[in-house]
Amino acid sequence: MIFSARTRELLAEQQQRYFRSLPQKRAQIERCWETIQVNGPTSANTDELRLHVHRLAGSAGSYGLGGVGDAAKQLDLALGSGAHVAVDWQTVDLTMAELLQQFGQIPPLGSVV
Amino acid sequence: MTASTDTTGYLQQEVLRNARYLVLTVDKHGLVARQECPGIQWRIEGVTTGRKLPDDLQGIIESTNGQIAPQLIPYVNLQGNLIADVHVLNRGDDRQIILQDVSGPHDDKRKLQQKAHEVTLLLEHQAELNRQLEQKKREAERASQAKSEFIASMSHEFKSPISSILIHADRLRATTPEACEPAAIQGAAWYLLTLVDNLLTQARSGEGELHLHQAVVDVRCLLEDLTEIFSNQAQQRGLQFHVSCSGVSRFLVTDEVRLKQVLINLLSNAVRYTNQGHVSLVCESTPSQTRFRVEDSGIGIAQPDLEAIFRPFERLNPGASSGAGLGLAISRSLVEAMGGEIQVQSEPGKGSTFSFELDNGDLAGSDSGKSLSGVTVLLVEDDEDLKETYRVLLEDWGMEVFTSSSFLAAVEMFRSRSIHLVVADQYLGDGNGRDLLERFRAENPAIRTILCSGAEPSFSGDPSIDLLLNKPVSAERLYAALLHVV
Repeated sequence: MIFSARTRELLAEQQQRYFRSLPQKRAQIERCWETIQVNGPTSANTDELRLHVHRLAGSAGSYGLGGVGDAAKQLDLALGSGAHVAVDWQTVDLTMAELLQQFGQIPPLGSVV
Repeated sequence: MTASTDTTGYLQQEVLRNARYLVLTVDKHGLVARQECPGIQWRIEGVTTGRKLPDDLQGIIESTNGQIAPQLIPYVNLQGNLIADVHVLNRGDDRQIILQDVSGPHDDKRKLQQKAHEVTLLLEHQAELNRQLEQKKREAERASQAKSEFIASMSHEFKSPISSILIHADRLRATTPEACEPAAIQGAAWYLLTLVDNLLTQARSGEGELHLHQAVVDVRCLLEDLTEIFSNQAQQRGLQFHVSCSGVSRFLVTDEVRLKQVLINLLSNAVRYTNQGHVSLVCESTPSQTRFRVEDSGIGIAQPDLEAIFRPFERLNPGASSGAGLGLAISRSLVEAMGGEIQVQSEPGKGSTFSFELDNGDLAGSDSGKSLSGVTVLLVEDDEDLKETYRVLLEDWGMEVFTSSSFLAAVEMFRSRSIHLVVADQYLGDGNGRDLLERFRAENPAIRTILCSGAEPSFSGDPSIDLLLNKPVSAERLYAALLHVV
């Protein structure tokens, strides 16, 4: 499959844009997590956290961030993605730590294929 | 006389000649003065010249007393099961009673009414049966839906804690690499996960609810996942674990979850029944097919047992090994559902090889003349990053692209444009992508559809979805998916 040169440029721009958005994505998730830890989990704050985590799980791998994507997917599963199951908050805590660690290990943009 | 009068007179004579009429003249004393039969001769029981009329007739005549105009009393029951129309005419002091035998027509009419009544009853009965059938159908559908939801719920209820166990065991292994317990915990958890998957599959297939989701499977990624699961398990038992992949096609179209379930079943058995040596997973692809092979150097299977091992709940030497006896039975069913056939070669003491082939699906590229150029696609995705990236790719491949971030906006756009293909994310802010595709398919049966999802589908195969695309989606897999459905 061949991409045109122009498309390769556009895709590179897309990747750069995504990388630039990562701090904001991380902040959104951390904010939601802090709210849950301080105020306790509610339907609203858990759904908000699920939304951000689910989007990250579905997108990160498409931009070469497999580690972040996998960790987000684990957290998404722990949050009971799309299913009405009781959340195991201990596992959420563990997988959240793994995700935040993965955020900290994101390589420089030029090194990601 | 005119011609019409002649005709009328003729017809009157013919009618009289072929009918049964009895004309009675009754005098002012109520006695029958005269009887005449203008047509077919007949008599009525109880009517005698010089005597009064029978009571039933007498009552009828008296009911017309005081009436000047001729009176007709239809369908009078007379003695002898006769039915007659009774005409009463005044002739000065006398009364003329004309009795017309209508037993035949009356009988026919009665029979017709009876039939009509029976038909009405039958129709009512049928309508009631239909109502009952509809109600039973609704109840059965509700029960089936409830069961599907229960199975889906149980799937999550079982899998979530097992996933937690795996995650915690993985962290333990990372923090205490020298400890053997985390690997043992993971092995047990994977066994439970496999067992749950097989039991739920058995439950679904028993009710005819096992439907496949067609998805573009990245074989390399699948093999990497399996390596991660089984390399540790094999190592725990002192076995070597090999994975190899060769050939030209990286993708195939099949149910990714079920394919993985089959390979997990085969690999679990291989590890369980091998005490020394190796377990190998080999994948070989041609442009049209992909072949999977699981080999082991285990205890092997005797020839007479090679068919029995595929029967549900059948276990050879149940005391010597664990397992519910479902893995191979389910694997065979799943492979057959995916269009393949499991074959086994084995010899006691020399190991076993389980293999099957699957068609890759229509993933041909430009060699086949297939092109995406000019295809109009509606892309529905509420993640702005992904929507923009997909749009760039789709336009690069020559497609005319319309985008939408929401369910409602997508509905509007679909109605106002000629769309060939819809690619939708399952989870939209204001709705469900699956519902959207179902709606579009109902409006336009020719529309082609792809559903993008980040989670394992909780629904059975949906005919309104042509292909499932599991996230994250690579450009290569998106391209392969589009070629398959267009």
